[in-house]
Amino acid sequence: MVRSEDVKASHVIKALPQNLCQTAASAPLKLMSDPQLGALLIDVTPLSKAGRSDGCIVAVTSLNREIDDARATINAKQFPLTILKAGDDRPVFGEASNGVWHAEAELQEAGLNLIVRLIPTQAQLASGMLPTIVGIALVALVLLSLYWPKTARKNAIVALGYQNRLQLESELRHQAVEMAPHAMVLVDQNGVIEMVNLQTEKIFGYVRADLLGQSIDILLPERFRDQHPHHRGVFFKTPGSRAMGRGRDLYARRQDGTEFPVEVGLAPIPTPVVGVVKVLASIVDISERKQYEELLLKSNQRFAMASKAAGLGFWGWNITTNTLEWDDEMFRLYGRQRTDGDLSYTLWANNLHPDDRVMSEQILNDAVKGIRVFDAEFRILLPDGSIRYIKGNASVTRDAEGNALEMFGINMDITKRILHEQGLIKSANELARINEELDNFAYVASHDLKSPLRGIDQLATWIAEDMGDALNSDTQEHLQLMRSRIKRMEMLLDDLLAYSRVGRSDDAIVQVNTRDLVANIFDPTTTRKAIHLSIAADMPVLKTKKVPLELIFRNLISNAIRHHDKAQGTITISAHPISTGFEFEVKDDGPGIPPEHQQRVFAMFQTLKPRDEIEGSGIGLALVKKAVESVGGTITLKSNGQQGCAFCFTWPTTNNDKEKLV
Amino acid sequence: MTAKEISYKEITILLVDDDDVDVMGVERALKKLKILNPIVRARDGIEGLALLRDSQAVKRPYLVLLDLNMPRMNGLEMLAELRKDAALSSAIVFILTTSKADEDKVKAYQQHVAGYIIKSQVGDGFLRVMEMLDHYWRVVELPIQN
Repeated sequence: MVRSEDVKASHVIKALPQNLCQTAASAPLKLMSDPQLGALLIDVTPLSKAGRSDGCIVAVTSLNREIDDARATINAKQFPLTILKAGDDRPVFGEASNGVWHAEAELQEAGLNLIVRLIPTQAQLASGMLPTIVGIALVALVLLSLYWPKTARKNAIVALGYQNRLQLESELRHQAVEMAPHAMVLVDQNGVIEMVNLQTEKIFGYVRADLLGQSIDILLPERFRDQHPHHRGVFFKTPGSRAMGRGRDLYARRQDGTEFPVEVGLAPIPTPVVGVVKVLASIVDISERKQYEELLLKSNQRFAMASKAAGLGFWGWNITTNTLEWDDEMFRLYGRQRTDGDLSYTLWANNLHPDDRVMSEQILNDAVKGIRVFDAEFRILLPDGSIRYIKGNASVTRDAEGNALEMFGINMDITKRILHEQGLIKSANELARINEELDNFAYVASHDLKSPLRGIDQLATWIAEDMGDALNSDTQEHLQLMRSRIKRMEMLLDDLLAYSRVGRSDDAIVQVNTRDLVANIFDPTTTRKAIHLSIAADMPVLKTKKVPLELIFRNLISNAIRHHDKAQGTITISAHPISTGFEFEVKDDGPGIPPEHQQRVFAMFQTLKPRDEIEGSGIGLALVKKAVESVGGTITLKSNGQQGCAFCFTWPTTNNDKEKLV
Repeated sequence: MTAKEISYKEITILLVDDDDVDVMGVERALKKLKILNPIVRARDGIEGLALLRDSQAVKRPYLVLLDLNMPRMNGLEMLAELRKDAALSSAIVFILTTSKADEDKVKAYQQHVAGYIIKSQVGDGFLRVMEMLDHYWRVVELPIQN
């Protein structure tokens, strides 16, 4: 397709044989300005006298018109026809066809190699007249190839004879104006139209005759007509090629009175008459471009609104000229004014927080060098001295040698997120500190409180040993009671320590055979009661934290033994799989726990019997509950308060890693 | 010298403990068992190290009964100092403490203690501990200490 006059002219000149002695045709060309004409051929026939070139005839012909004419001649209009250039699948005429059958002929005309295909339609094929069609088609093709060259000249849009090359070129120039893709209008100093081209007729909707001799004002909307002679006068005072109405929106008027936006270029054309200059105006309809511009503007506005809403600032940095371009949001983010003046790299760098400047500039330099992608979080200092956290991302454009040219990027305000994160870290640290303090407290409680306690115990023992029989029975009993209280307190302190330690994240995960675990815990010698332990056969083997699991069974079993109210009893241990892991049950046939007390048993320091009756710290079940919950399980108690009770706890194995935030 | 003479060689016990009652307990137990070995007492790690470095104060051979929780320099800190000191690094040390914490046991054995003993289990005092120690130095060959 011919996109500009220059290209078109070069095609025409290229199509001409060097010595203008041979008949030749150009390859098919298309005119953007007049697609209805279809492919054009420029046909050159040299005129020679006694073997010397004496000019030539140049004919610009339309393939469409010629073929229609040729087909009419041979009465073959009902056959779809496709013409291809040899070696090129895109048809220069007709449709690309994938018909099942076609007749084909080669057409060699003036060095141009064309393939003509005749393709019968489905209906024609179905009519059963195949031999007839074949015959007609072959005859048609032969006739077509015979007739075409003859009709071509006759149908030429422009066919001109030339006496010499100069004349040819001048005529070509004229032709170039005529066929130019823009409207071209030649006016004299008074604004009278002297010449218009094909596009002028098309764009403005006039026929040539209605324009020639008229004032150029006829092509202007009425509201501009008053001013126009003035502008024209200015132009003719200092003529020169230029765009008309720089900075103003120009409009033209069609014959039907409608207006459209235009761009007008003006060029002075000197004439042989001294002092007389004409002007050639090239008028381009820019309605489509205007529409795009408006769309673009709208989309830019939307983009700006969206970026503002998202708190995103956009920037571009021309590295070679060191010019920095910030959008409004960037200025807002950095608390700076466009009017501050600096629009170079330092506008950014000077706003960086002093502690982050080296790091941020390093990342930027690395990005420019291509060592890494620019993806940085840094602080900036606002004019009021406050700090803002920014996340920046950017990419670099480079030339063919890889040198960085420009950088484009975004900045985002992440202050809220950073402050939130810092708050979280602070809370987590605080929590860790408190936990550590608790651990220390428990350690101190267990060690430092126990030491004097043991001292008291020993002293009491020694008094009993040394005084022996000298003490009366009351004093001996008091000493005995004293030692039992000491023992109770020691147990409390031990349990307190265990409670503080249970469920710590550093418990190791190991393979645990729960049957062996339970069997090893049970020690019947700790009681005078005849307690039997019954362990289910299907106890699982799991990979889990052994320490808390062992602690749970130890406490539940020892509870069941200590609280048993009969001389004989059975403790039954069982397990069954659930979706998240296993549910274990420790069941006894002791006195049970009345429903009204069941809420309290898991609380700290709660016992249901006086401590002198059954020794207990009141921490055991609280410890069990904490151990179960430390792995994400739950514990429940089932008892009717008359006969036996059962503790059921779930033990997740699927997400054992569920830890608390520490 | 005969083997018999070596085994009867007097062994000094350095007891590092800040609790007077515990010290009394150890002394009481030794008396009960009729063990006459000399006892030297230090109240914390710093005092303990000073006494050990003075071969007149703690006659060789010796073994150390070391409490963990003490003022100024605790038992584990003193143990670390001992192992760093070429002259004292081979010392036989028993930890005698109220701490049942696993991390204390692990740390102590990492410093190659001969035993980690938890002070009662209120009841029999130090009787069993001292009995064990008496057997220990009768049976076990102690390192050459100077």
